[in-house]
Amino acid sequence: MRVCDPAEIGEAACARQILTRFTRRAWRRPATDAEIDRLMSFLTLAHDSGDGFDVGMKLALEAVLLSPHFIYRVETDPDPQSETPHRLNDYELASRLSYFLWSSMPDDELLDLADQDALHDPATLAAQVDRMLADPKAQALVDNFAGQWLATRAVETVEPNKTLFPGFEDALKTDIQAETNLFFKEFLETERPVRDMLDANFTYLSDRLAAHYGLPQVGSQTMTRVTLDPSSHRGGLLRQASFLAITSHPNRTSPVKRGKWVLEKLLCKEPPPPPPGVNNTVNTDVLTGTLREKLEEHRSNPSCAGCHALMDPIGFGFENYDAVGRYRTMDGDYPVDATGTLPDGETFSGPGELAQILKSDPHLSACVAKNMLVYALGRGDSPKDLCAIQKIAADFDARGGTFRDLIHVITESEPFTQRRGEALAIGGNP
Amino acid sequence: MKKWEISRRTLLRGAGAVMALPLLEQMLPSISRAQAMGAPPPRRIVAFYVPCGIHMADFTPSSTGSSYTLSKTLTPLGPYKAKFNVLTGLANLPARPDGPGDHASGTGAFLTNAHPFKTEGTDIRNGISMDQVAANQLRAYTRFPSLELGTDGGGTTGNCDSGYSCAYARNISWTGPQTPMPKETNPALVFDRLFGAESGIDTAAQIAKRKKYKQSIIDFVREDAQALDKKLGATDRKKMDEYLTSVRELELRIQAIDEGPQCTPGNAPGAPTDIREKTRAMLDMLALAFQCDQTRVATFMLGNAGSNRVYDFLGLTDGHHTYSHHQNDPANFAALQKIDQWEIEQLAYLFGKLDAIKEPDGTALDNSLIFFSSEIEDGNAHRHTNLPIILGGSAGGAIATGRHVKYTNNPSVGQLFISMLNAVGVPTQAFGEATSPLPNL
Repeated sequence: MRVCDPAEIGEAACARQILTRFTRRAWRRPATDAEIDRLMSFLTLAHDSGDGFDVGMKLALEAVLLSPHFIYRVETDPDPQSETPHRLNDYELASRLSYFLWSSMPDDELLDLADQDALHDPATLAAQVDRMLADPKAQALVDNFAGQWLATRAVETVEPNKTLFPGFEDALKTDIQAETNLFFKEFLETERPVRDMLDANFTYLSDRLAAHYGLPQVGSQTMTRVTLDPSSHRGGLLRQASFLAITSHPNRTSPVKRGKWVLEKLLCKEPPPPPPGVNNTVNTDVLTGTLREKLEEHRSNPSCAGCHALMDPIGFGFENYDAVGRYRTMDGDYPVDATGTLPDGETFSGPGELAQILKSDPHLSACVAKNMLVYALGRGDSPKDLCAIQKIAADFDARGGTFRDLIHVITESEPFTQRRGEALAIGGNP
Repeated sequence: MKKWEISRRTLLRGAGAVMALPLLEQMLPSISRAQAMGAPPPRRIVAFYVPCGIHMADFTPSSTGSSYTLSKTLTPLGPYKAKFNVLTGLANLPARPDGPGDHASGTGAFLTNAHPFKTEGTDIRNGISMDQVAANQLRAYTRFPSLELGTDGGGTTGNCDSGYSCAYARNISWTGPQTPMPKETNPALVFDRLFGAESGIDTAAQIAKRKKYKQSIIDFVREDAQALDKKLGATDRKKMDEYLTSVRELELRIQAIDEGPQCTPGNAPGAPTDIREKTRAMLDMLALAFQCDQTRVATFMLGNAGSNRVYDFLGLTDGHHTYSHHQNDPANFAALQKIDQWEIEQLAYLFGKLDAIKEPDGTALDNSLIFFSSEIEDGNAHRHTNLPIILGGSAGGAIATGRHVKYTNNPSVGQLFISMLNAVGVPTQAFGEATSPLPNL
């Protein structure tokens, strides 16, 4: 960060240059003259205490990094108590963009556009989004957004029973996580519609993961793109071990968890919690019969049936995959039955047909849109966002349904480009 | 809409890490100055958390009073029987979740006795925890207000349990309603934090100058925060309050910069991955922190909420959480009893370490209060009543020990926390849902 030489241009002038540049990056906006003056006082303090330029600068830089302007992303309102929306200023917009797409601070180009008050111009904004998505820093969207939405991070904490599932080791977990992340990344970077995630005919495998799936070796332990044969029993997000393992118990699959995951993550139709006092585990040791028969009580007990009629059939569609995502045709002593009937009467046989039903579900776009908007804003959605989410979902579909389309629609949306204050709560704090 | 948000990077570190200040910490010499200042003799609070409940049939002693017999699960505590109480029948009713989520909600409320707000977003809301109420006062005597330790890591954002944020499932210490204190899970890093700053000897003039410099930075950022505060709405002002509190905490530590250390910490531990070694190493660090009077408040989580750890060294093949949904199967009860007894062995280990630290008026065990419990009672029923509680130590004789006290009508753990806080010299009238101390203690 050596921008000048104090011996050449004088200590005060050089300090001012350094602090002006450093605060602009750290605070993601230019510091005011008054703020720079206050920081300059650290140089005076050091000098008066018998120390030199370097000590004074170090104090000033510590203060910059300890300041709330560095630690928090500050967005202010003209009137903190007014709920009328107003446009963000361009520095605030630059921060929203960079934390959304890069999980990091704005770069010089974004700040330069903000200096010119040009960033919010729609054409400029769209061009910046494209530039940012092409930057390697956009990998943060894969790690953080896919990691949270598709829960690929949760793969790290999956701990299957070591006796039943030997060989489910850390290296395999890493590959399972990488498979879904690379799969997502390809959707992010290409013009494939998001819906195709349900039935795409490609994936990424290492030799280790291919062996786990019972597929031909790819010739490397590096994750390699593979086109899947229809007979491979793979294809689409929901036949990847990440989804299949994180929704399982240590010793068996959980059709309930798998069904709930699909409803929650892909359709945003999470069923309400079970009623109080319900016995919510299955004893796999005592009862006989298939898991499907054991779970039958869900549908014979009226207090359970309403929700389990939604969750269980979807989950049963994936019973051809065990608790670590391996293909199987037998569950213990019983042949797998992967057929199901959805509440609307639609029937399917196996995960392929189920994926087609989910792919054409009208709730899918809105759910993906909601998840990404929540991520972009860093806050949960509220009923006030409902209209905006519907509009974002409609535009997302209309433009072609790719992640790039969705990101553009979100960055142009009112919730992303505007903010509002918060009315005083009655009896609340001043 | 929210006024402003902390950066995603900060969120990922956990909201409580907002004031992680490596530069400043590195320059602070270690101190230990309690007795030198004529302060009261040290009284300490520990909370020891275990996940997934306890199999009560093997935990609860069959008789009460001072001549009770230890239950099977409690046998490891035999050598210290005169130095702790078993308390049964207490409840933590605010811990009951909205719908499912008993593990996260019970863990969030473990020390707060408040009702955690169901969210997987950043709008988490809980109460202040009992240990942090103690820390707010006892910090005046030590370098660190409190230590948060555990065995299992993980971030504090996102959904951990049926719509409850990981902030609730992975933290029991809360400095404020929105601020969990992330725990340290690497014993080597705990050692570094406690003792890593010891370096050389500074002259009084050097120390004075350093204090002046640090104070000038504190003044600068406080001015920033106060100016900002005027532009904010109610919600964000609360956030700024917490920032200012952190700044004040740092200021107190700067003012406490004093002479060098007064104890010999010994060698740093390694970074064990085996749960048995890791637990011992963490409890060693806890005892060492007390011995060197680096803090008087500590929490320890032997696993996160609803942990599904597989205790293969106990001959068990399923996860803890799986067993805890026992379906009244004797085989599951036997597995749970083994896990419970192992957990109690770790508590006994801590008791032993503290009892070996001799102080002018007893041992460190005598002078502490150690609250041991779980986020629920029974793992199958997810009850928040009749919690399994052991209260170790007597806070220097303030509490009569060696008894099994059985309570009826579900008195609140909040009442116990009021009694504990008063016993360690932190006057408290009300806590959580409670407004009176616990009788018969």
